[in-house]
Amino acid sequence: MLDLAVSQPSVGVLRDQGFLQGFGIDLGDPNKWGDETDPRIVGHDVTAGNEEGGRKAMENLLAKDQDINVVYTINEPAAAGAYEALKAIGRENDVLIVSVDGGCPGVDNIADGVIGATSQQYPLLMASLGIEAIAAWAKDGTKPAPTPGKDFFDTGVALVTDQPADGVDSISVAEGKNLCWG
Amino acid sequence: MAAQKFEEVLSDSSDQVADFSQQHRGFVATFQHRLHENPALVPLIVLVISIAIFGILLGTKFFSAFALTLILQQVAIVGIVGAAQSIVILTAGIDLSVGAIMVLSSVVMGQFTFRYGLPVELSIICGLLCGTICGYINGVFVAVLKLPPFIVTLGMWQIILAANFLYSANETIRSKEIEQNASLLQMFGWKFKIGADEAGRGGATFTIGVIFLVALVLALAYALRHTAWGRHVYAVGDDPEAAELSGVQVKRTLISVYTLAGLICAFAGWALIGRIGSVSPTSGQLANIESITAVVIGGISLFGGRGSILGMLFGALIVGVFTLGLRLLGADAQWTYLLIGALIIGAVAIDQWIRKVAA
Repeated sequence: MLDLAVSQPSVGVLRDQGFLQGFGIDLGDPNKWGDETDPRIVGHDVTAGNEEGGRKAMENLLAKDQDINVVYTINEPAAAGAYEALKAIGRENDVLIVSVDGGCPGVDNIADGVIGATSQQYPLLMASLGIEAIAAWAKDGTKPAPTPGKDFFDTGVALVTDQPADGVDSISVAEGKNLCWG
Repeated sequence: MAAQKFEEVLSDSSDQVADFSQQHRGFVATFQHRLHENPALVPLIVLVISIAIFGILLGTKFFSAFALTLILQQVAIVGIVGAAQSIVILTAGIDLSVGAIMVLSSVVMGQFTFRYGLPVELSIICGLLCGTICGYINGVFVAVLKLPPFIVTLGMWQIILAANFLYSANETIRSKEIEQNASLLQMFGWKFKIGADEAGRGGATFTIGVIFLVALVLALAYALRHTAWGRHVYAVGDDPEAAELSGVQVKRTLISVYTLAGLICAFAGWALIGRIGSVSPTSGQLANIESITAVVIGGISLFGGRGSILGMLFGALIVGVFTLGLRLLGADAQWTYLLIGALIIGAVAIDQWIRKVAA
């Protein structure tokens, strides 16, 4: 698990814990990563969300256990760094790296097989919907309602991969490429 | 006339010439004296002890060719930048812009190749020139305009970093593209292995970056100790006025030091591409603080004129050993920062103690 920072900012914690929750892993305190006791987790390390940190964190975890097979990363630059560390020991083809964000270089890295899948978000949509919500409130005082069944307004997210798995909705790299940003 | 007898009393006095040699030094004083003569000894001792302790606690997981050479790879960038920082700090200066110069140089190497289509060799030379010019500007502000190095490089840090983001538009050049079109940029990441198994696991791994780091430190150690330029660097750091009066060209020495530091940072930028595979404008944000940490733990005095560049290398390795060792022990990453903080203060306290030695 390659996380953001030792201060455990909420964006890093929510992504990390959401990933583990998807696997049905006991989270312990859901507001904190690193307190899980499941032996399938080799460890957590921090990356600062860039290539350099991703490589170092991956190396540290590989020193702990060279047989790691799935790597979660906080964002795509960290994923690219982790890939370099795996390449250095010749394991880049048998380890699955997954990530979050959906920036264009990240989606290109899925096409090249660096990253297995990424959870794509839509910052431009968030911005336009946000402005529309403000305009609606300024006009007649309507406040945005949470998406049904959730306690927040969901601006959408899609899993981008060219190796779709049964039972998991995903879009292709080509579609992801059309929607990517940055 | 009675003879003058003023000097008669002297017959009882000591006939020894002034004597400053200390025949009997205690064990502690002898040790203190040794440390004073070899400033790299303290970090070396700390390094050996910390490797031994982590080796005992973690066994072969830590005390293996794989893990120990991994630490070398992890400190390669900080070590190269630390070499630049060392020569600046030896002149009683400081360079906060080292990380920014490194990143800008790597971005220039990448963008010149991919945006303008220049041959990769030419782009690398442009990148090295870019770092050298940044260092030269620092040197002129410090030596000619006599501005404090802290202020000059604080400003340059911001200016260079902003230039880096403006110029690169914060765009990453991906590893795969570099590998296919300009693999020379990744030269410092080329590696060879000794003693790995068939699947490529374990064994000692050396990258060109690591070899460059060791060669650079040895070359600088020689230059600082055995060339006129090196002695001038120490003299300027110890007392610039005395150096000036002894005929050292203080301004020229200072400018040469900052310029060389810029060039070394540009090489660090090249090595950075080798390490992370890609050209990323957001890398190296903490390189200035990490390099100063390595220098201080390595026993180089922030007041200039004292210390050895080998100590900086040991200092960088100590940080690397603690980072990996604590992580393998399963400690929260915060503990690493806490212990490194303690090491910094400890190193400066020891420096003060050694300074009190009766030389």
